[in-house]
Amino acid sequence: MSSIDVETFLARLYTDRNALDHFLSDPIRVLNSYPLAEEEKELLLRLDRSGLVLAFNSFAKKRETLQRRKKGKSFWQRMRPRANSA
Amino acid sequence: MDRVGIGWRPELAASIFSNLENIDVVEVVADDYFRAPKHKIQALKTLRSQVSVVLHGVSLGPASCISIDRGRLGKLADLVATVQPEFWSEHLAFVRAGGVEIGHLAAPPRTSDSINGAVENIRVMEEVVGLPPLLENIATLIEPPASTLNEATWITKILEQSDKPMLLDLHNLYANALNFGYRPQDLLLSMPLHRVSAVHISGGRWISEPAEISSDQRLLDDHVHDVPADVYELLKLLAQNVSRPLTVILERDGNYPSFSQILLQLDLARSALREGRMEQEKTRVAA
Repeated sequence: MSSIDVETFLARLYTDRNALDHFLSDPIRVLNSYPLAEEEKELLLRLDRSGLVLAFNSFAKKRETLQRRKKGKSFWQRMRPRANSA
Repeated sequence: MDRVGIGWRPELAASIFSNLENIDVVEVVADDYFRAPKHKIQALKTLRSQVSVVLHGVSLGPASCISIDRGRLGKLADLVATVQPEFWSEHLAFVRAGGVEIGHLAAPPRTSDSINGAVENIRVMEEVVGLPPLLENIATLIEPPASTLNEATWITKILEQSDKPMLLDLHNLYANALNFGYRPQDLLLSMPLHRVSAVHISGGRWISEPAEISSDQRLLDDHVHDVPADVYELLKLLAQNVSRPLTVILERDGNYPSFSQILLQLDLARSALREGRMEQEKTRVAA
């Protein structure tokens, strides 16, 4: 039994739309394609599906925000006075 | 003595500096400074010369069977050494696995394996940084899959085995309680309160569950709404039940109201603390 495999499986579900959709439509087939113990598969079959979709959307939004911030202005760039301002 | 402060946000910088007499402590997100130029670090040291500063990490993800990223830990250690915060904190969450970055804090399966992983990661964190971290509970929209323990038991075991203090996020606790069918007060009282020395308060909003699965709603801890009254009640209950001083930090990440509204929320936190301490004293005297 490897909890690293469970975390890896969850990280994929939280970030990959295709993986999420496949899991929601055929969870048994998807779980069988991962190196998970039977008891882990049984627990994951009972996964909170509603929460999974909400978590996926929330994480996607967070990643988008992080990307925007990385491309955005730094604090000092925002504090620099603009030309022609009072 | 209890203290109340605020999370540092660039949008609030000028107001924070103008109102330091009303702010006991400022919490800075450590990761924002990992690649900061010298002048930005100097600004942080200037801030520290005027008010207590604490650092808050968001990307180590120690509650995991996977070892934490040594590169990020090294950057955090350097920042702690440079800024010399009063304390630093991180989250009982995992943030990456199998080469995939989740992009935010995710609740790992609450199992003995993740407890063991967390305890080892926390040991490494303290060894490298040279200062023990406070560990924070997180909000989760999904009941952590493949869990065999409840939240309070899992957190208690990690903190006891690592012997570390807790940063108790009251809105995270509130959201998890409401989302998964617990009374917030009961969940609070089942936490290892004797380890709590710092607190986060914030607000959130209700979001709809996927229509094809459910017609219910869940509370999202989004940090862009005012602190709800129920969270101040939880703060009062906490102050009633812990003896050590508490450092309470208001977290606000956007949709900023006027700064007077923010200061009002700090004052509400102070009132809740006072009321809780008075209740504790009444109980002590009556005993």
